[in-house]
Formats: sequence, C-alpha cells, structure tokens
Amino acid sequence: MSAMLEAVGLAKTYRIGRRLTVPALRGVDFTIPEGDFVAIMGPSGSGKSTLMNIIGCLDRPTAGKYVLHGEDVSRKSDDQLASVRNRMIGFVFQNFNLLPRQTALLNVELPLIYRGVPARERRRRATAALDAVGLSDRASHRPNELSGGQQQRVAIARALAGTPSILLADEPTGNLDSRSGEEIMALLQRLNDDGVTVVLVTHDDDIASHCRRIIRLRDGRIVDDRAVVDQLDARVVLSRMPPANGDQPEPAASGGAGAEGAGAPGAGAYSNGATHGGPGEAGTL
Amino acid sequence: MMKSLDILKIGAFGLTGNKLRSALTMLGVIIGVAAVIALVSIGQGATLSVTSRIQSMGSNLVIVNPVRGANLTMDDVKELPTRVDNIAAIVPDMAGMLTVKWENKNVQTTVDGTTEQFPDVRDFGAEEGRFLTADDVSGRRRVAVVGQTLLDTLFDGNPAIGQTITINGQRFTVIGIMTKKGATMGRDQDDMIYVPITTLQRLRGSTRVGSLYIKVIDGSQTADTVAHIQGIFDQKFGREDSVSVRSQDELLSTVNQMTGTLTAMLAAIAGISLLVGGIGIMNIMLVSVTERTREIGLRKAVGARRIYILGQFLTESILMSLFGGAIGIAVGIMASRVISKMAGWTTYVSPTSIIISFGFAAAVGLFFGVWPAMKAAAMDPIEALRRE
Ligand SMILES: Nc1ncnc2c1ncn2[C@@H]1O[C@H](COP(=O)(O)OP(=O)(O)O)[C@@H](O)[C@H]1O
Ligand SMILES: [Mg+2]
Repeated sequence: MSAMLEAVGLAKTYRIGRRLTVPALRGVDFTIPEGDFVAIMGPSGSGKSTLMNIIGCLDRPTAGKYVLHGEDVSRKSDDQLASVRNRMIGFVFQNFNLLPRQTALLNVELPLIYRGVPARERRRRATAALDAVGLSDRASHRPNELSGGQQQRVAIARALAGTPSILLADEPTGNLDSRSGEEIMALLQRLNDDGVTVVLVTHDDDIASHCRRIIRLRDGRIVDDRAVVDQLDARVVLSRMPPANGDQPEPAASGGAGAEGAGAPGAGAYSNGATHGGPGEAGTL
Repeated sequence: MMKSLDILKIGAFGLTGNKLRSALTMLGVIIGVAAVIALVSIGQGATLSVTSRIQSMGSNLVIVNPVRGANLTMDDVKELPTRVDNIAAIVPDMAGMLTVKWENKNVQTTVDGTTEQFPDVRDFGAEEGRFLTADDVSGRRRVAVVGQTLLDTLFDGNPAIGQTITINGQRFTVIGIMTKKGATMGRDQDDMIYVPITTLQRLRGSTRVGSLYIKVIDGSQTADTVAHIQGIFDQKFGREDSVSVRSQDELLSTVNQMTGTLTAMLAAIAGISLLVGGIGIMNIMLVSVTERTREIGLRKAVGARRIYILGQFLTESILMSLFGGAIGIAVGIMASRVISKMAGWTTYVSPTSIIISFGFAAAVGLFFGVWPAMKAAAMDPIEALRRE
C-alpha cells in the first residue's frame, strides 16, 4: 500500500512570550499507509493533540516535513491549508461540533459548500453519507433531537461527505456511553474495511485495541509503534452487550432502510479505494 | 459564483439565530435612516417653500428695504423710475396687522398699502371687480380689494363687492376680490386686504413706505440696476448701504444658502444617530463572533478560507444595515408626512436623500462590520475549537 501520510523529523515548539519555548513534538517519524487504522496514545501533555493538529493541517510543524497524499503541506499558507483540509481531511471531534440550528443533512453538506459543490450534488452526497452511517431517516433532524451517538454519527457523515483521504478523530468516543462508543467504533471499523484511513486519539486501551496499530507518545517523541495483536471486532463486542434501551435505535434497522434508499451512491461517497462494501454493510453494524 | 451565493445564504441564516437581537440592532439603523430622511425633508421642504414664496412674489424683481432709519417715501416711488432706465413698474409696500370689521364681525388681517402698479409688479391682481387705480391712490380714496380668505372669515360667503368695511375705525368700500394665491411657508397669501398706500399713510399718520418692489424691464441687466439704485439711495442718505437692494435671484441664492446650511445641519445630526446605529451593529457583531467562536473554528476546520468567514459575517452586518435602511426609509417618509401634518411645515423627501441615506446605511454596515468579520476570519481554528 502506498503511504497516505508521511512524517519526517516532525517537530513543534510553541513560543510563549519572547523567551519561553515549549517543545511539544521533538522529531517524530512515521508513515501511515492508505487504509491503516491508527490509535495515538500517550499521557496528557505528550503531544497527541499537537500531532493531530499537524496531521489535520490545522497547524504547521516548526521543523521537519509532513507529506499528505504525496503533497508536502508543511509550508503552506493558512488558506492553502484550508483547501487541503477541505479536500483531504475529515474531522471527528470529541464534542461532535455540529451546528445546532442546522439539520443533520445541512451539517453533513458543510464541507461541500466550501468546496463549491453545486447544491443538488451536495444534497445527493450528503444523503449518501448519512445513509452510510445509518441515519438517512434522521436527515431533517436537528442535533438536539438526536442522541449523542447519533450526533457523532452525523459528524462522521460530515467527515465522509467530502471523501477525504484520511479521517481524524480526537477522542471520538470520549463523550459517549460505552454502547454508543462501541457503535461508533463499529462504524469506524466498517469504514476502514471499506478503505478509509483512520487516525484517532484515545486514552482508552479498549478503544485503541479496535485499531490495527497503536502509536504511543511521551514527551513529544514516539516511544512505541506496533500493530495490535488481538484486534477487537466492535460487532462482536456489541453482540455481547445488553440490548440498547429506549432512544438508541438499532443501527441495523436504519442501515437496512438506507440500502433501499440512496444505496449505491452511499458507497461511492465514503469509500476511496474501497476494497468492497456497500450500504448493506451498515445493516451489520 | 455559486459559492458566494452559499456564503450569502449562510450569512442570512446567521441573522435568524437571534431574531430579537437582529431586530433591535436593525432598529438602530432604522432610527438613524428615518431621522436622516425626516430631518432632511424638513430642511428641503423649507428650501422649497421659501423658494416658491420668493418666486410667487413675481418675476424679475428688485426689492429695496430701508436699513436703520433710512425712510423711504412716495417721492422715492415717483422719482426712481425717472432716474433708472430699467424699471418697468414700482410699488411701495406697507403692511400691518389691523382689525377689520364688517357688520358685527371682527377679524385681524394684513392690510397692505400699495398702488395701481401692484398687479404689474407682483403678477397678480383682482379677479372680480377691479384693482386700485391711479385715481384711487392720488385721491386717497377709501377703497379696498380683499383676498379670498376674507370672503369666508369676514363676509361669511356673502357678496363682498360694494360692502362697507371698517379698518381701524375708518370706513372703506370693497371694490374688488383678488385672485387666489394659496399659502406658502404656512402663510396664507389670501388673508390680505389691499388699499391705496396714500389712504393707509393718512390712517396711520405716517409718510413712510415700508419697502419698494421694482419690476425690471431687462432681467439680464438686473445687476447693473441694483447697483444703480443702491448708488442713488446711498447718495441721498449720505452713507453706504443705507438701503438693502436685492434682486430676486440674489434673495433666492441667499435663502437657499441658509436653508442649505439648515439641511446640512439636520443631516449631520441625523447622521450621528445613524453612526450610533452602526456602532450598535459592530457591538452585536463582536458579541456574535465571540459567541460563535466554535462555529467559526468548525467552519475553518472543514475548509472555509478566511474570505468565506469574512463574507459570512459581513453579509450579516450588511444585511442588517440594508434591511434597517429600507425600513428606515419607509419610516422616515411616514415621519416626514406626520411632521408636515402636525406642524404644518412643508416637507419634501427627495429621491437623492433616499439614495444617499440608503447608501450611507449600507456603508455603515460595511464599515462597522469589517472589524468583527476580520476578527472572525483571522481566528485560529485550533484555538477556536478548544473554546467552550
Ligand atoms: N498553543 C500552545 N501554546 C503553548 N504550549 C502548548 C500549546 N498547545 C500545547 N502546548 C504544550 O505542548 C505540550 C503538548 O501538548 P498537547 O499536544 O496538547 O498534548 P496532549 O494532547 O497529548 O495532552 C504540552 O506541554 C502543552 O502544554
Ligand atoms: Mg490533547
């Protein structure tokens, strides 16, 4: 597999005032191939967020080189980085960050607006992305009408709508109960199976063991980088959990509905270099 | 471009987030624009009515007014045309509020002493009956020509010609009724009685006349005529500027200058309230940008360039000022009508004042929106997303 993401001697030093400098990253090298599923772990202050910000093109390294999908993005301007983010990065945040007054569908359309995709095409792709996360029946709902897990799935749909090269998730399950968290992991695993490259930050060993690989940071350096031996399958974990209560709809149901609806485009919307998979996959969540 | 349309939509949607707040912010602009429209309409109305008043005095006029103790008399009226070539007609004017009585009715009205040349100079005269004649003037006859308002106020609709009225205790016979002239600047031009100036002088025990109205033959020579007349009087009274000699054009331009200054002052006062409205917009936009830091961070994270964020927030502020401006124009026009009705002033809302105040409102929205929008556009997405 080709390298989706390559960091060479990546360093970031924050300046506080004129004299004080804080080295947050002290030379980090790694390569993430296309289709990888990486958890970044480490104690607080070890540089996880700093690294994610650079990977996500929200920030620039003070030294070293960062190549994303063959493009050196370490020295680009703010607006150039915005455009790179728009085309290549999908963000999922711990606190979802949905626009509260907009419907799920419009939230998902957001990255496409800034890409200049025409309204009709935008709607088609956003619908497909919502379908892919099993929420096609919630398209016209506002965030406050959705459960935390559903909100996070809308956020994932938003990240997918622009068919990014890489999905970045900073503690995506941090604000969710364990079942919703597991459902999110099942979704991410399925997307990853479909070829989406995923990098997430987590404190939770259980969450991390859903990934293929764990990179551990300490004091701005990589102290450990290895493949996960017993990768957890979220579907299996979910099947052992007590059934969902109340407002959490079984994702399988909505996924099935999606298969009948805008099914086929759904696959195209989120999977790049997809190995297999279709909307029916959502039903197996 | 379609992206700009989407940015406009996002901006417009932003305004609906806190409708009450948007409306109150707009209110500042509404009041500002309405104040500009209404106050300027007062100024322009004043210009208009003074202008029409001056024009209603006749055309090609030169007006002589005595200055400090320079008394004009009937001799001047007779002598001036013999010394100045360009005079077509000349009438003295001596007006005062007097009590006029008919049967058992009393009214206060303006009694104007003049001569038979009045219709030639002022371009209007008797509609019914006749105006004063040279004989009336030389014979100091007690005859009167009445304005149309008096037909109602004094005669109660009875035929006026031939009636005997009493002015300051002296009996006059009504010989004619003037053409209707209407009101200018809130003054009724038909609430007048014209009598021979000679008769009025005797009635008041005075030989003075108030001012002279001169009609010139050749309007292009007016400036020379004015200078000539000024010279004659200055020589007669032995000092400069003994009288003020003004042509109608000069009078118009002086008055227009004055009312223009008035309009500008009113516009400036109103403009300040529009500026305050603009500061209100800036204030609210700054609050809004701060409140929506996370939204801005998110938009930037998913790929919004600076210019899109700038456009979004500028759209909000400009839309508020444009809507406020449009509503303000409507309110201003209504206010101008109400003022005109209540105060009896002439008001005039000119298209120019509408265009300028609307443009000014738009500029205010742009000017006071730029800083908050730039603040939003310059936000660091990392910082912004961290904000709670
Ligand atoms: N904007 C900043 N300015 C100064 N220092 C910072 C900034 N962001 C992070 N740091 C410092 O950099 C180090 C790494 O922080 P961070 O990447 O947030 O770690 P983590 O996410 O693993 O907790 C910490 O010492 C932190 O204090
Ligand atoms: Mg962190």
